[in-house]
Amino acid sequence: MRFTIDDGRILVEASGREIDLLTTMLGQFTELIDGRSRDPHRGELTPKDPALARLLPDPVLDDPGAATELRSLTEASLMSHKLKNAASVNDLLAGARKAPAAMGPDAELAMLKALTDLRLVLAARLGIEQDGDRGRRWSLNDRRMQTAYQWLAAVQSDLLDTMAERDR
Amino acid sequence: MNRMAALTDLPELDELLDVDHVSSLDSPWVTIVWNDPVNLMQYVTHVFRTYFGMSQGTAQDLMLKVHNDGKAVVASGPREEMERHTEAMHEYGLWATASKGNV
Repeated sequence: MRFTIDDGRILVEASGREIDLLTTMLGQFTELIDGRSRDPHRGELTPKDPALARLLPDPVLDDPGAATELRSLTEASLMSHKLKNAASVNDLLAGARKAPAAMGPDAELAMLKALTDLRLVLAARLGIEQDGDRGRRWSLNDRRMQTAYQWLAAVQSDLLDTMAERDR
Repeated sequence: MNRMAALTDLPELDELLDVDHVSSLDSPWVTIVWNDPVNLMQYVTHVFRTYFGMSQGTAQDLMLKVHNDGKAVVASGPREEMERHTEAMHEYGLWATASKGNV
């Protein structure tokens, strides 16, 4: 995946395999969030799934009552924000199958946020909990997730570098 | 002039004493961003710069404080505002909490 600058806009160029990989991960991400919206404890308790707990953290420190109260007010909108970012990247990628696609400021932000969310889920699945953790590498699936985790970081870093260059 | 006497003359006093408004007069709340092993330092700096409108240098210093100390206060003020910042940080995928602070 490559980002270039064209007349102040950023173009994204991606291979079919890269688009397939990202689309698959975004689909799984959407399922994960949708699962939470079917959870009877949605908007109340901290999600049990560590990935969801990291995506939708307790908003108030050391005060479970206040955290629950605020969660009940904000969790649904936070989830729909994350779903919207994933959908926006999906749309962008669908348009990038044949030729590089131009990104507006909204698409840039949605891409940065969606890449972050995907990495947060992968980190939770791989048991990366603190600085220095390399994460599990037992199974073939672990190693695939490791590769995706590193690749998403590189894509995000490229996008940030390209944005900085454009804004210089 | 006795300030209390003047205030009690106001017909909207009941509205003014709405619980939320009184809590804003209380000690300020803070938004704390916590270190995590996932987010790129470059991304965290970008979030602080664009969301809070900080300079590159300030954003980078704050990012390093989060990284080295494990957390940093990124904003302080009324409770509702700190809760909004916290949700915004969650939208960016940063780990943040709001709490009553002593700053």
